Amino acid sequence: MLLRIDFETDRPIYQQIRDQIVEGIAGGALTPGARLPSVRQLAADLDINLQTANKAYAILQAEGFLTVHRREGFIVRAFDEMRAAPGHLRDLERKLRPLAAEALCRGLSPDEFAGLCRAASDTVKKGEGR
Amino acid sequence: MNTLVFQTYHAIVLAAVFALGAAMPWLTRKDIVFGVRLPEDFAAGEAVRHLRRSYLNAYLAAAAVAVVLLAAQSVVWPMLKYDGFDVLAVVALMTAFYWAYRAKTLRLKADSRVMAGRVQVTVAEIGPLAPENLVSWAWFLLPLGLAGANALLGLWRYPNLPDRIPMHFGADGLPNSWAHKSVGVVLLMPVIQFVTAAVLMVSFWGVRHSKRQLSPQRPAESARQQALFRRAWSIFIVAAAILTMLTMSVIFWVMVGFVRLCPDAMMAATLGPSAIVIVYAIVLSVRLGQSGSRAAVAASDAGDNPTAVARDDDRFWKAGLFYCNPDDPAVFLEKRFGIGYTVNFANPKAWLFIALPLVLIVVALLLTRF
Repeated sequence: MLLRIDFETDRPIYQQIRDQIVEGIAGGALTPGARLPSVRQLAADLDINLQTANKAYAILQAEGFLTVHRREGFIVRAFDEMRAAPGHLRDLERKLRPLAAEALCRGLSPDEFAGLCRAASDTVKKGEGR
Repeated sequence: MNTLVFQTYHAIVLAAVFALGAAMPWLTRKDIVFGVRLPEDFAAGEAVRHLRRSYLNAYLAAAAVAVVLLAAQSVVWPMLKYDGFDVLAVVALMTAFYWAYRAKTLRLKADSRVMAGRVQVTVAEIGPLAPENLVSWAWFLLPLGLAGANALLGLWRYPNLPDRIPMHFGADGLPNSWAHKSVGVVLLMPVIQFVTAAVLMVSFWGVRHSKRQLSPQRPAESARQQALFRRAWSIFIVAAAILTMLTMSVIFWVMVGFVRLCPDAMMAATLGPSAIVIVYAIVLSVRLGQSGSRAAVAASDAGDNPTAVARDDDRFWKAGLFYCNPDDPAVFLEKRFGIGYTVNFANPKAWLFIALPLVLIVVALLLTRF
């Protein structure tokens, strides 16, 4: 899968990496057990700081999407393990809240917002471009 | 007879290097023109095409003059001929032309404001899109085994060796310098072989772990081209390691009297493998281009973006030749002009690699003393 860093936006680089890797896993471009490039290789390839690449992987590991092996480096975790991560539902709800608020302010009904969520979910699942 | 063969060989190699210099603007990456980062669509346009043609005409004219001067020089001062003077002249000519056209390209880039308003992105391949198809490290057991066997052979033959050991052979295949027998002198060649193998193994590692700069306009295609490029040059390094070790071994076997070769056979054994390595390198350079930019791969338009441009990294290339970026963890990366790899001179690990050949010289000096 291709990871693209946009240097013109104000979205932090580590966030761009984190979001794209999660999307890659959800869409099937990265399958459980897949090996990711080393921190050094990723930083060199993307022309970013070593600390930035490190931070992206550290977040993904803390969130339970990646695990680190002594020899293999960072690899994608199994789906059961991702589901079993403690507190992930509460975390998702917390992230969804400001979006739900924004949708209500813009006059979207709960059903319309749910429709948007559904469409986004379908797009990600099909692995379609951003 | 032998000197004539050697001269002809030398002239052909020189001509090939001249020709490669003329072809170079067509062999580099599609987004690097004379060492300057440009958007790919712009680099394929009329302004750049004009620049390349102008380079070719001027270069060929200068090369013709250089050939006449070199020929005249070899008649007037025949002594200079084998001192690498002509090779140095060719390298100087190529560098001068590179600098002149790099300056022109930088002006064109500034005047046309081609980078303005374009999104600067970098793209990395992190999944199984372009499978690596790695070349095995086990191939290096061959050159390493040869060096080890030679060390044992030298020690075994040591008591029967004469007091004077031939150390260097001329272009005619005959020895032209000798040294007094000692364990250091006999082990010199196997040690040189080990260090040479080490340099080539580090290069092999370097190709595998080099910085990958995908084209932001056609990332998937360039990922496949670069995987092909890395594999082809990894195989080249293995082949070069084996051929170089064979040449060194033949010289060593003659030195310790393990085999006897007539001067003709001696020359064939040394020039043959080096000719293969040079032809191999030229064929790879022309067939694949830098970064595999000329390689045909399965088409894929995944992630294509017709206007994106990679980050402008011109300022990290000192004199257009030396990459110095202390923030970049990369040690090895592709050359800016020419085919192959260079190092990040701002990375202390790269200094270690540069120091390896110096280690070779120091070891050689120390060994011949005892």
